[in-house]
Amino acid sequence: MKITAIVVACAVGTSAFCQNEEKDLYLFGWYLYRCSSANAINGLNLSREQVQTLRDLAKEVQAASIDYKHDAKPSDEVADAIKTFHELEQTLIAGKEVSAELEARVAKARAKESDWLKKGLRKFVDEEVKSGNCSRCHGGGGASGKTRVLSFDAKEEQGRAHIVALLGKEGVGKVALLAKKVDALLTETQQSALSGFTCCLVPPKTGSVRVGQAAVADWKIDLLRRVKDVPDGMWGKAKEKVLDLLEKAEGVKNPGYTDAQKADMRKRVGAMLEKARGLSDEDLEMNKEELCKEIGISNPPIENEGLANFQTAFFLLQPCTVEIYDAYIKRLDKPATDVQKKDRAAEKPC
Amino acid sequence: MKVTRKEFIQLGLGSALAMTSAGKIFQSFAQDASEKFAIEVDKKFYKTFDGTNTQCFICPLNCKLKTGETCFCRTRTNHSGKLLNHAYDNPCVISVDPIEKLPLSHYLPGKETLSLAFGGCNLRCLYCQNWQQSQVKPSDLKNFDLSREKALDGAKKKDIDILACTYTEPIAFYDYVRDLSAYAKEKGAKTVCATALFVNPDPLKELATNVAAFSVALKGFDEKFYDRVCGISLKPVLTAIETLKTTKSWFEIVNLIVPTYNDNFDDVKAMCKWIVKTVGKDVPVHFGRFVPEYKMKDLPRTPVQTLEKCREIAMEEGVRYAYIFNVSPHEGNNTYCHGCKKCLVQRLGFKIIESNLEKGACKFCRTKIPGVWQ
Repeated sequence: MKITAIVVACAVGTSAFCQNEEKDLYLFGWYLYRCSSANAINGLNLSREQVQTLRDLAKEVQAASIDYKHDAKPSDEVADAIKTFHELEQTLIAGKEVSAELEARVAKARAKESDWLKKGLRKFVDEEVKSGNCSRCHGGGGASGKTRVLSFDAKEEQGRAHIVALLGKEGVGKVALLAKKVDALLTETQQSALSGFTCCLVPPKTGSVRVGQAAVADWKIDLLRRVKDVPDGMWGKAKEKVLDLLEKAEGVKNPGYTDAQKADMRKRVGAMLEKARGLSDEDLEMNKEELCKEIGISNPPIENEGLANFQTAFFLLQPCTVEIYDAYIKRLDKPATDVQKKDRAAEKPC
Repeated sequence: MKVTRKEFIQLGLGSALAMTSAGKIFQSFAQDASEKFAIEVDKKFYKTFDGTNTQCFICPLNCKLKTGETCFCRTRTNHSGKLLNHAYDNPCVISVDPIEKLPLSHYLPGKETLSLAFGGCNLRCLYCQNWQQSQVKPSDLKNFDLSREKALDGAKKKDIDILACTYTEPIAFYDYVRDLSAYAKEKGAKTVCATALFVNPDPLKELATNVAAFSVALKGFDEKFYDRVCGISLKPVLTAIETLKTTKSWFEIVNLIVPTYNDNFDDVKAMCKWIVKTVGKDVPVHFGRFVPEYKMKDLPRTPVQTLEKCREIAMEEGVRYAYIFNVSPHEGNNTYCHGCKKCLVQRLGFKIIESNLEKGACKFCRTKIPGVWQ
């Protein structure tokens, strides 16, 4: 199988490289995509007919796909993180809310995964890419020779490599064939809800749209308010600390975060923080959403329609989604509510 | 050092914040204690009796107070026979929001509002989403300093010409809403309110002279529900809705469906019958999904099928524009022409994806659609 060559920029220095174990990569990939699919499916408010049709299509993709290895015992280093992702996956498939405690553990697991991935990312050497397996990017300690640095914007190639590893060439082909059918099955607003969707572990908890990432995370607004309160004499050091932490947070989400992107973020966000500090409390509140947009890298909708349809179809039809649809149908069949009405006399409003 | 975003927030910036926070708290108390943020309630809406006792007539509770006592809404206090409202110029929330968030779907869709809220409320809803602001006195909160002039200035700088009084209960900060809406109107801007409308008819009529639109929370159609869950009575709310119908303000009705409490379909049917008979079939009705909060955290979210059924009942009873709120994407978010049934406004959450309205009419069959579109 010929696989497009991909070069990944190392997020850390050239020391301390070691190969990421393939079985662990498969496990992380499995949970990331599975949770993302559950996130998408649960958030779309699909009708019964839609669910049943999508389930049938997902079975077709499953039949065409490779037998993805996801039951290996993880390495000790990442076992806890994998366990947390498994718990998240089960919670999402059951259609339950992700508790704040679980969300905090998922964030830690994600940070652990990111650090572990960074150790294994290598500078790519053209001539070495023949095998097409995970080690071409995750092999750690590469040989010397010609190297190219992959710009972070080439996520498309990176994503394709991951999807091929997950489904196999025929599975990917099947998804591509079914993409138009999936598009026709969804309403326009459902299509719109998925237009900027990428991998996302924990769905938004507030708002009416529960697909993908929250529009503006509460923590960003909280950060701006706190930044305003720092005394002038302490601001210089505090600002650097804030930028360090934001850089770290972005690096967790994107292990291939380049030095150029970090520098750009520090300049951009640094300027925004200065602006925020110069505003009155009232003006900050009126402008907080706009200011927060500067923090983090957002995922714009994919402009290429074919690619956008493929991505939607992938998240709705990849092999693991059959189980998600089964759980969804079970919830649709459950009585509207079986909650006993409590006697609320004791809680009567005073 | 491995620290996640959340850990950073929890750690905060340590002593630097403690120092400045302490200063700000004292400053906030000082402001509230000084009557800088207080205004005498309009003498039309309260009386003094037996020397220094007062009785407020803004809401149907008509609170009688001795000196030093505060109304049920926690905002109005008797100062030796003078009734002052302490929710004035000191909002606790300032935010820019889409107008659809109130919700209002037939009033200037796609526009942004500068949303304001003040501490206090004359209800005690067990499921309140904003209980941290609504179930306390204004002086218990960290507040901002925002006169109506500053509010309008700030809005205009952002090309916003709609001010929304929302999140908590505008009737609790009635005096600010009254003055803000009058000022905004004078300056060519508009004011809208999201309210439970537990208010007496005369103050409501006065408010409606300058408030352009209301999103009215009709929480249920059963006195027992109102008593148990909201701590007030239903009948005055129905009277207020009838009163609102006599004014020129646009309004829409919102009914939050709480599992096992007000999800009885017979009650929903009775409510829709009353709405159509009393205020007409053109008043949009929104059925909202309950989310566990405050003192009702043990209930599940409202099933989507329940909301769909409520919407179906509403349309069967003659409501022309029935919506599902707080669930998206869903076809219940969209506006459909009552003439040709085609989709006029397609929405994802609060965002408009597509509009097929032309000057307030359906572009397909030219039926005039009730609402304020420009």
